[in-house]
Amino acid sequence: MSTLTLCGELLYPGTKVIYTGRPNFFIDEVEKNITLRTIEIGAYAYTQLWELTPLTIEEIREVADGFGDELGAKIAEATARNPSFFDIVLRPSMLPVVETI
Amino acid sequence: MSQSPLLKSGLKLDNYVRDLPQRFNKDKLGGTNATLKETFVDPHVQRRGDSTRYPLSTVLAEWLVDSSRRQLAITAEYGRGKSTAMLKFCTDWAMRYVKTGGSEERIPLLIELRGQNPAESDPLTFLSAWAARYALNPKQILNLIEGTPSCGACIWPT
Repeated sequence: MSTLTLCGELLYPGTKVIYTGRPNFFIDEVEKNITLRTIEIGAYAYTQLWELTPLTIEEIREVADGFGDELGAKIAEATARNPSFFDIVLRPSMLPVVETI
Repeated sequence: MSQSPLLKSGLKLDNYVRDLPQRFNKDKLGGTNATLKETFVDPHVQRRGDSTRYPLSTVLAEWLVDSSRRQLAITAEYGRGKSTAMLKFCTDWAMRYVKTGGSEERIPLLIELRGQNPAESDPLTFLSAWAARYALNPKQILNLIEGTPSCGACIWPT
């Protein structure tokens, strides 16, 4: 948390910062809002929160095709047969694992 | 010559601009022959309470030219592509930097907080470990942040 606060100290006028991380890094919304300064007050720096959305099935297929061997089509087929498989492959980081299996 | 080009010209960014495309364009993803470049799709983001999906590239492009002091935080569960999206953002800059020799663009500093020591108590110390990785002078980096339009992508610990 202290390093994140320290990062905020680098917010000189003209500087732009993007923070990325897991939402559960913070204890609660209050801590998140205070640490990231999510409330816009006057001319002070503030942080706008965005959430990365899960991949759609079309995007999963596109990512998987990057691994070759028609992996995209195979994953689409597997997802249609077993919807819970979708919960695994909607994370791009899991696709290399799936590819090696 | 204004302060900005002077500060930028003193920086030796060679290692940094080589490392970013190496990681995104050439390094193989564990156990496969694919790279991030070959498997990347432009991520989408949304605001709380708004189901509209926006391309992250559009959000970033608009944010870069926004003259307000609005910063961005992008959250997602593990493995959803946060780090990759930031690496892509910085790699795109590095590729343009190599092609054009720098120009007037902001320099994105990709700093992963998970590698930072919590005991670091001041901005210079905070930047030192990151700068050392690329043989950069942390004082010059701090001067760059203080004195020129720059931007950082900080990835907080998980």
